[in-house]
Amino acid sequence: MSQALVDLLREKFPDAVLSSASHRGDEVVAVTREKLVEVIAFLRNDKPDLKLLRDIVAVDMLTYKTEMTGGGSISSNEVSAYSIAHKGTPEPRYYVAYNLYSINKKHSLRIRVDLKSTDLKIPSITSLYKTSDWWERYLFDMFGIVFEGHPNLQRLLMYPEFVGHPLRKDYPVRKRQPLVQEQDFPDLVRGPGPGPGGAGVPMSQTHVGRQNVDPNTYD
Amino acid sequence: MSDTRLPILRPEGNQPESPRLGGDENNVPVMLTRLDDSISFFERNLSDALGWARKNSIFQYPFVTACCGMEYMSAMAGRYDIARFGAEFPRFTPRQADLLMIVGTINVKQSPVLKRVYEQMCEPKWVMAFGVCASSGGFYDNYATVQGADRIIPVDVYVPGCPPRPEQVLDGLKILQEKIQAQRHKASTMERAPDADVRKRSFLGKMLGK
Amino acid sequence: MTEQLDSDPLSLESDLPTSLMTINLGPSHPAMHGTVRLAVTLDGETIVEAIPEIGFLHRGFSKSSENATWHQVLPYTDRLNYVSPILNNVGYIMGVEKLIGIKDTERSQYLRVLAGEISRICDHLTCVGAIGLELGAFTVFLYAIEARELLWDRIAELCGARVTTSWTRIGGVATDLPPGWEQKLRDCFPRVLELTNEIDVLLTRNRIFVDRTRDVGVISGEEAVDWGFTGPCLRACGVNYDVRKAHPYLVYDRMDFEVPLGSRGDTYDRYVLRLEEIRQSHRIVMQCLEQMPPGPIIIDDWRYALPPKKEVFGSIEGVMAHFKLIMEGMQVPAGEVYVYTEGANGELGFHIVSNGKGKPYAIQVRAPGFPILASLPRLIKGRPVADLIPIFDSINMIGGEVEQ
Repeated sequence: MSQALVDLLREKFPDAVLSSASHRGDEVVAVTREKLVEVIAFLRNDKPDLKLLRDIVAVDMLTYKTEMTGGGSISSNEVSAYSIAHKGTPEPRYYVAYNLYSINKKHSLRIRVDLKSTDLKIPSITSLYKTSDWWERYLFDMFGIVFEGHPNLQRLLMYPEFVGHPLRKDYPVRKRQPLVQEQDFPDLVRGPGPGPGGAGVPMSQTHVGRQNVDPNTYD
Repeated sequence: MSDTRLPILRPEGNQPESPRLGGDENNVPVMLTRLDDSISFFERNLSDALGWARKNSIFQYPFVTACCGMEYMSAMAGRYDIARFGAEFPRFTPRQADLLMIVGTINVKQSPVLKRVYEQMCEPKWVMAFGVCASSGGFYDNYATVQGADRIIPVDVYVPGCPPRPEQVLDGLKILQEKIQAQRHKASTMERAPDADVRKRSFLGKMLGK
Repeated sequence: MTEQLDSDPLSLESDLPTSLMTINLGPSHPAMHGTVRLAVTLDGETIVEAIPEIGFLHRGFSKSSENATWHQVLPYTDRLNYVSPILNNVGYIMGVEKLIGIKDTERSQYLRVLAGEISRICDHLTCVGAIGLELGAFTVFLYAIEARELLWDRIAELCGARVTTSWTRIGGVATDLPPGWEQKLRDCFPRVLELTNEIDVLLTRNRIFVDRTRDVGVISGEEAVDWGFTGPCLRACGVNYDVRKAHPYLVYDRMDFEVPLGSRGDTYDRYVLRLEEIRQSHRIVMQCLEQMPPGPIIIDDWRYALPPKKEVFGSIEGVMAHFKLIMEGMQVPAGEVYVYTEGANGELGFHIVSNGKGKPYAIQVRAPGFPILASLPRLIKGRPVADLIPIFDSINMIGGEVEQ
């Protein structure tokens, strides 16, 4: 990771670079969505020589401030998602990060683009890197981010009958959508879950007092 | 043995009275269905012989998906030899196999495939759930994983472990062999072969209303 | 391609009308590597097009890890690349330590390198064994699995489990070397190397094997980088990128080893490279055993590492620290980091986001096999269908990591 790259980028694209940061040795540069392809093309083909696209990552910041601590035994995403539903969605809700690396020059950089949940589109970089094909399909599958210009934007890991995008923070973790008629054993201890074919709340939450209660009725 | 629980057949041919309805408690009628008594000597020996042959020549179809495949490889290889139990040959087509070993996690996308493979196998067939993911979903209690292969197809033997040691797999195989031996095998191919779905007949299954 | 019949139907050179056939390989298929479905369109025996479909082992690693504490995620990481699980453990924990900003003790660094290299040897043995098995050389498979068993016995004595180890902890490792383990390891390695040499003798100059793997699945260096290749598949093309040499982590900078490089980028090079890497990993293991200093195997910071049991049962601070760590998880400072290590198949990366609490906020795995599998259609197009198997085996796609 090098600061020189960040300075070069700021010099070349002063209007595209929104901010830059460095955390624990990783440099991140936030760019605008419109200039994304241009910036990455410069980083790949020009002096920086960042020819290896390691991966493309997306993060849903819906419950970043409100998610509770503790392991799977203490908290559940359903509770914090409920509270978000009453407090509103923090925008921009998503961001997409590109991890780039140069084998010859041994430096790396992360490019980040923020996206609003109402406008979940971003240009595709399949014209620059062949490997971005499957990463973008993966993010479309998991988050629902539409990559404009992708030749084949379909689900990658989930099946076509699946409704929703699993890695979003408001998708319940245990909500299954079975493809085949499943023999559903009644779970006498945990009770029914949010989706068919499965257990309900975790074992430790069956005896702990507070479960997914509506705070308005809690008394 | 003070009470002799023998079926009481009245000469008139009436149904015996239930003790709960005011009948005699010492003469509770119980149906005896010991398998050995219900079939003839020749059929019983033939069933034993067929059972012996079938249990010692299992053709497996390893439906390998995940990490349990590593221990499956170990069970097949030289040290924990599954060949000494006769189950060496993996038949990579379900049409020629009789043991479906579900090795690894079954997720929702894979479930129609598993069902199709099971249906393509001919009777008699048995199913071994190898590993906790195949038995009950393992610790993947999330949107993608079927909580046990027995939600989709009937399973005969569950081998827990994450992944199970090859000795545990061989133990499961031995239990399956005992089960195969105890089942009723018929020479005639016109009748249905031993029903692998034990749940339909088990007492516990009836209790749960299945 | 559909051709017209010759004008004279009795002519011996009239071509038969043919059409393309689409067949399905998988998702349940005999190849020992992960479940993938390939819809191949064939013209006779030549592959015209291949469309891979994955997702048959997607187990929701990212979503499950958002619901577990930092240490509860460790067993999930084991099952990513289940052939070399310690490398996954090490990669993930290094990411968490980078986020916190701490380093583990020196002895634990050596231990991580030692166990990691043994795991890497196991991965390469499994891959080579599977290559042999699928091309019909069952003996190679048996030798490779026996060598792996010898190493797994040592791993089981060290970590408690053969396959899914979950051995590293934040700030160190879970267990130290048992007494007598070092000697047992030195005793078993000659046999492991002997078996590797046997495999070498059986396959490397075997006419049939060479014919089936030479110049099969060739890819050039630049194209491989464009496709995102790393690890043995990239080094087989001649590109010298090994994270252990380019950005040394743990104690790899103190180790003296070479990185084998291929020249042609074909299946044969990928196979020979893996055999050679087994020998280099053996060198690293021996150097670790010699250089390892005595000392603690985990840091003494009770904000992140569990206190020793004596303290937990003996002092108030120990009980409190233990309780907080187990119930709430280690409170990792907020931030985002991408940590990369050399996994057995290539660069294994973890992109970890924390919001300051005891659970990860988001983890995404950069599986080395993911981009390589994406390039499979490019590798097999135009080849006969029988070449599909050696190519698919040599890229060593592990279903668990590709599909998280």
